[in-house]
Amino acid sequence: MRFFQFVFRFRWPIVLGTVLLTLILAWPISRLKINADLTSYLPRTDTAVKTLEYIADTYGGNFVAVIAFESEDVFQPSTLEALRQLTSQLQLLEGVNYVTSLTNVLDLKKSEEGLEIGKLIRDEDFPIDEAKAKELREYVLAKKRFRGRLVSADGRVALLIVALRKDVDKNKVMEEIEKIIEASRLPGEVRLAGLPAQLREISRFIINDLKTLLPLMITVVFLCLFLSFRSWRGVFLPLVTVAISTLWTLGVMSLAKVPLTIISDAIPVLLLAIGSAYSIHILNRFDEAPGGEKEKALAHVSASVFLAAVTTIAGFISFIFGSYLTAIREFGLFASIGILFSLLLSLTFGPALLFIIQSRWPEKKRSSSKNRRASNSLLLRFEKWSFSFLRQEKITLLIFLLIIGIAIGGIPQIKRHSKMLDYFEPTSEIRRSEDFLEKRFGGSIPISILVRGDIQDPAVLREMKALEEFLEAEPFVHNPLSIADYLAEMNDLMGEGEVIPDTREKVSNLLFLLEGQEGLDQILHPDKKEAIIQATIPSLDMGEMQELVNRLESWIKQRSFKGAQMEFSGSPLVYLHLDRSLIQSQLVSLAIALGLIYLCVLFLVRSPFGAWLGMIPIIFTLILVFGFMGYAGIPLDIATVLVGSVSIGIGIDYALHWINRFRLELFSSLSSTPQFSSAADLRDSATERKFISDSGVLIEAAEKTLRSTGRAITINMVTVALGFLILVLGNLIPLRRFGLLVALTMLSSGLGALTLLPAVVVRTKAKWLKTIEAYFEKTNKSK
Amino acid sequence: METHKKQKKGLPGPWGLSWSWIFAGIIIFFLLLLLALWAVQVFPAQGLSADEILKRVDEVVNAPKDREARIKVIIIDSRGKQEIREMLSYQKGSDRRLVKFTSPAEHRGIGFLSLPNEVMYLYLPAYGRTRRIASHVKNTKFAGTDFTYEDMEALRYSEKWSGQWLREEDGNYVLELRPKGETKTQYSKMVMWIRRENFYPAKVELYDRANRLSKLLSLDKVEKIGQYWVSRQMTMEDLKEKRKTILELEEIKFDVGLADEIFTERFLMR
Repeated sequence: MRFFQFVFRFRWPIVLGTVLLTLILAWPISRLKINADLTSYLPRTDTAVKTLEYIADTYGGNFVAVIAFESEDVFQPSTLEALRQLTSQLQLLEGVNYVTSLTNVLDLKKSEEGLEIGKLIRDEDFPIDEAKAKELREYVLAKKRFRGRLVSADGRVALLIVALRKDVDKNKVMEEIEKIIEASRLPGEVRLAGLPAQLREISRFIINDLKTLLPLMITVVFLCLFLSFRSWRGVFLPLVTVAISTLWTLGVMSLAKVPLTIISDAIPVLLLAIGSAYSIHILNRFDEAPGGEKEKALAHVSASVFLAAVTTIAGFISFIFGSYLTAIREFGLFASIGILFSLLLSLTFGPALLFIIQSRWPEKKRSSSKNRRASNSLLLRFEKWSFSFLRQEKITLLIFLLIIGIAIGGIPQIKRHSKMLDYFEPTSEIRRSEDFLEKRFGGSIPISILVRGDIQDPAVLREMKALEEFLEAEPFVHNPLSIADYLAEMNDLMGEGEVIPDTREKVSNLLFLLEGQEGLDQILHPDKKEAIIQATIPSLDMGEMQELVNRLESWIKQRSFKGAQMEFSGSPLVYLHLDRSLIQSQLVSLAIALGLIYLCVLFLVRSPFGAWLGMIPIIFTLILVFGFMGYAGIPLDIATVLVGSVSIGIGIDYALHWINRFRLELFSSLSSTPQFSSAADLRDSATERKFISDSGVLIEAAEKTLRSTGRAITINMVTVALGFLILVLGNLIPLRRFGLLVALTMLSSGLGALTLLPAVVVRTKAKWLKTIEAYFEKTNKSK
Repeated sequence: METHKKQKKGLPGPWGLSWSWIFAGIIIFFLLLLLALWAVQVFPAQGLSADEILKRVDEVVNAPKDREARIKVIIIDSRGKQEIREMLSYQKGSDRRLVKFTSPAEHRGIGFLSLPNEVMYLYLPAYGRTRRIASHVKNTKFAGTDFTYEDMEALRYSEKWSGQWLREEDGNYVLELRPKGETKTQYSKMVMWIRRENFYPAKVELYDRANRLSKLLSLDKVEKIGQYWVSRQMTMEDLKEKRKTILELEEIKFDVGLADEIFTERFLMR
């Protein structure tokens, strides 16, 4: 209360100071960087990341974009010329490691003129005439190393494989590549695929979606707030507070030089969902309280706002301790900071602004407040509806138990497997390109097996060949290629058949010839103590990927070959690792958050069992959300895993507000009811309780709570749920799911607090809230 | 007339010449100087054209009848890692050449034989066989170095390239070389610095087909051995891949009368 007197006195400095601070903190936001590279979200010490980075550094081919070019016949001289030009143009591009296409791929062959080691089509061969093109077509389509790898078996599709450098902004490079393709005007259809293309599409979709959906979302929130409060400040206060706290948070992130990731870019929406509630409660209470008691009312509601914020922060802080992923830790930290800002602003800036408005336009406020009650039939109907739940508390509990039972049945059905391609609509261009590539070439995503040992040893080479044969037999793996293949081919050229040379000397002689050839450094380390086997896979779901890893590892184990060490690597493996650790750390975080929140509720209700009852709405919400995911076939993945924490963060707030207000109402009900003020001698708690429940004082207090705080909860719940439902209109499937699940979370935790919680309170006769005891203690003392 | 002459005689110039002769002489001298300066611009190098300079280069570079040398090959990759190899090189005229690796042990005996009309043979000791290498592997790197087969060819620039005068710089003629119509090459052009004093190239910038400077060849430690000029250290730097290869010529002998048998497949296998 003293705090709000302070706020009242310094209302102008507070408002002006906030505006000034916002200007200062908003300034550096333009320098905020975006980091969409998922591999960087894992700590550098992670083994999968380490190997991937090592391979990227040494061999340069982990981030591969694929350009598929389709025409009647790619072996038309003009088409080959166009391909060659495109290849050399792309090679010049900053950020591109290498480009492989028919026009520059290494080939070994024997002709009448002799042995040829060099490009399949040499620069000097251009311009190519029709006859030569025909000859080339026959030669290339007959060779396994090219057919199905760089050109489709029917000769209609040619690929350009573009390996990007790992330390560049891949989206930017992809943009450049698109520009070059567009300018090249290839005679046919061009498709762009591969992980960098997928990631680029994702970030493009996110930006597009946010551009169109964020204004829509704000409009919906705006309308909801206006319809609920019927006043401009009811709209602007929550929105402005959210906007300022978002600006502050992003400003601090930028000052701390922490880039925005695809996880932390959810912070603004989360602040809209969580932060707006604080202002709504403050505003609701401010309007409700009579003229002179505003400060007192604010002091009371600020206690629950404060506790709500603390619990939410506890939920987010659990990420900092519980998570393995740097990106999630950063998200936890800055989401906490954002909530802290929201809290600070709704306790200082918001009330200060309200005091200013009230002192300037007191008349207006009164009238608007009066007709609001009468006109807001929707809210009234909602109140009535929740009252009936309250009166039929047994039925309410039964209904909820039934829902919980059904939801629990869905939890085991939650799909743990998602694949990146499912993030796109089946009709989207990128999805069609990937499907096309998968059908013709078996996928666009490179994987590699790192082989450490004496690569010149024929035994090692034979083992590599054996592994390639195993990979070839795998349903998902295509086009394995290693130095062993080249050596076998060279051995054939030397007249000893297409097998691995039988002596180390022969291998050494052949490698001497291959040395310095374009592309050799992509598969063989210069010191010849290490090599990689390359292959491609389509976009796999995490389960299929895990199975592939398992089979490969058990194959390696089974062979127990001593001559070399073999290790599987590739960006899909990092995603697998990321996915696994994300889910795992998320569960740990969820447990930590539940623990911390339990402590907060315990602090409020001061009863170990009561604290559990207070958590009923969030437990209900968690079960409902996960059950829904199971039934709706929404997989638990990077996109949806954050919903659990949001559920807790928001769900508990509603419950805390409700409990805090209910205790106040019960206290005043008890003191205003004559039986209780006189019957102070009712010391035996059993009779006391029976008396109280019979008297209907509990229901009266609950109704009063529903009418006051319930209103704020309803406004907040409906506003934010509708706001998030807007995301369902987006292009990107994970964003839609996120929107849907958050909306569900809001509704379920709101309804949980408005119907289930009161029913539980009435059913348990509010024993665990200890309000009645507190009341009697107080009245006895005063006597 | 008499009086006129006398008046002039009244002011006798030095060496008994009249002043008007002296003035005329000075003017003529400056005119000649200007002409000379102009001539130097138009006909550089004692009045040689760019193509003539190139011919002189060919004469100097290909002067010896034959050459025998031990060559140390130092390959330095982009990370600064060095690899050293040694080979024996025999060359007769400008179109016959045999190279045999002597070190390291695992490469000992590997040999290349280049014969006229772009016929090339390779010998791999582990297989005990020679194989002919197709002639059009020119832009293929030679044995893991930064020199391509084309770079390794015994060069007669004037036959394949036409020169254009650019400028004179620090005692070097600078020419731009563009391939003649029929020439098949991996380069779109070269810019060559040629030492004025001996017509031996100092360095060559090599431009790839996209017309980008891609490689740089430096010919250092140019010495006169017997009557021939030779660079004892040639460095080819691949600017794109940031690698370089240094060829150090040791134990060079000229005109030793190399037998024709050396340039046969049979000798290659020995």
